[in-house]
Amino acid sequence: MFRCLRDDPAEVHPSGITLSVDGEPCTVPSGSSVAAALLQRGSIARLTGLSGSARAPYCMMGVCFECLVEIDGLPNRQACMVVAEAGMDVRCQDGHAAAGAKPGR
Amino acid sequence: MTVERFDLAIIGAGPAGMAAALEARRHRLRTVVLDEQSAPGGQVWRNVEAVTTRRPQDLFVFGAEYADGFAFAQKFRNCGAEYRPGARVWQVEIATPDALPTEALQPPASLVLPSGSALDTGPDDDEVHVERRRTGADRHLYYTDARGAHHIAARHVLVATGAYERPMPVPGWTLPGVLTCGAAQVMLKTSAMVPAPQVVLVGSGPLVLLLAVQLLRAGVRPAAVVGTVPAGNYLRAAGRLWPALLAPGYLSKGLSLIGALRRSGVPRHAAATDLRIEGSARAEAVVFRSAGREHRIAAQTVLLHQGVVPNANLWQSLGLEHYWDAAQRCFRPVVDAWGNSTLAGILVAGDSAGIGGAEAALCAGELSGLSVAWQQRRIDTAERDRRAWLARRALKAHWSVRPFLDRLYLPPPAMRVPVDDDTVVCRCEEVTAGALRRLAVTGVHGPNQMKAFSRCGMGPCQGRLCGLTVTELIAATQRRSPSDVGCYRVRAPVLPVTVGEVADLDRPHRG
Repeated sequence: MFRCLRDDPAEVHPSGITLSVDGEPCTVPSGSSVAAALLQRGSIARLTGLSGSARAPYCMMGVCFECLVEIDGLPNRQACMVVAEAGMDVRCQDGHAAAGAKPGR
Repeated sequence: MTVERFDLAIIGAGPAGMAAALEARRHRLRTVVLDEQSAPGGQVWRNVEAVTTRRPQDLFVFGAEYADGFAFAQKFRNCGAEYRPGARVWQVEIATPDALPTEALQPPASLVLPSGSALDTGPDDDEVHVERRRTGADRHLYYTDARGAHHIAARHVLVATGAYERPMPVPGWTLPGVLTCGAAQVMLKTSAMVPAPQVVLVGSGPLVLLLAVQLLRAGVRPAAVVGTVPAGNYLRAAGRLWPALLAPGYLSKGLSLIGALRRSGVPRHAAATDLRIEGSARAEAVVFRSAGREHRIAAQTVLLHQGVVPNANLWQSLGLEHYWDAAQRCFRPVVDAWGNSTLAGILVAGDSAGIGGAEAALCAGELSGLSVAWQQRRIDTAERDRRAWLARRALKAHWSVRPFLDRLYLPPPAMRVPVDDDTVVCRCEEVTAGALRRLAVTGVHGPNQMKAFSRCGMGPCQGRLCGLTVTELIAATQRRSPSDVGCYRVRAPVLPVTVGEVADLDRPHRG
């Protein structure tokens, strides 16, 4: 879990961005990535396709691809490489369910 | 539609990329800089412009070296290079391989041989070879930004993609709540956020110390800092202490960080072994052995780090000659003193060519810019060498600390290749060390065959997080050298690209 550096949210979020993470509103400082919102809420980014184990942001710099999420309906977005925008709808990506729907997995 | 053409395309706007752009612009090369971040600075100076102008009260957290990045970023913005932020390059190619004289693809005799130091450069000029470089056709770059996919061409390409943190495959490292120390620094720099409440730092390397001190300055007290440097490393490093003393500032900086951490009273544990992270749905505790007994420290956030390795995927996809650096435990491209690779018109500078740190990357970038200006006949040899003199001397000084740091912070074998069979090595495809070892025992030739048999390295990260582990695991199991085992054959696109993006290439973009 991550929290804002200063206690006074107004000081930290003079131009905060409010987006939706798994249906709940979340405010992060402007310029933050979507992954920062996930970390602030302690959210899971995705469930793996193979075992369904939960994954969350790990490297925060576009290398590990653990933070793949669904943003505004488009899956497999790297949350750490997408700058948060007001009104974005971010959802945990259930790779397990998606893979389960396919034959052979 | 005509393809946009440049004299020089630089990939990465960190220290190496920015320094190269500044130098190239001094010689009026038409330069484009493609960078995946939204502002210049790379990882070391990440978000430095916004921090300096919008939250200057936080600058003290990061220290003076971070603050220096602001002036440099401003110089870069004003240098006249075409700067394209948010641009992720997924392919670089030579237009048509037969447009190049075939001998241009052969490594010239003048290139550096893998002798351990990037500076054992030998004769740095081979006029004939450079003449070949000049005759090469355009290099083509493909990248995606917020508006879609683009295609540009350039006579020279500089890969300055920096480094990322060496994977630390320990039991539990895939649990939510386990991140890298670098990730926590990104959160601090970009979002003014800190881990809370219970955070433990685990690993080795300057960044562990730096982050611990930065968190303390930001008012966050880590529950513990768990060091993983084996006692034997100090002895091995001691022999390289003398040259390290000649490097400007590194050792005093390190000692002052250690001093600050010691004064803070944060519990520190040294030479930890048998490390694992426990938790059911998330990280709950770090468990390890140190000083003869087992420790268990509760933690909601565990920050791992054991040094950095070159961000190599892009240059690997170009098939550059490379070698295994036994001291840095990573693959490095064969480059000459200017960063010229074995492929005509392709240069690699900064940490992506071998870990030398930000200061060394500034020098290397400048030298690459000079070499390109010279190859494109903007300056003569005398002027190039006159201008290069200072940067070359500084580069040598910065590299003189590396043998010491490389030996001191070399992660122990058990932290590079998991001992425990159930530990995941390939996070994307969830391939365990045990599965890989069983295949290695059967005589799998190398990482590429391993990939075909186990799917390791086939996920979206394309082997970035398992490549070095797989190489070292095969080497250890089969008692071969990592150099002999080799690395994944990386192919473009080096990032996931949609069919739509490819289809839209070379089509005029809206807006």
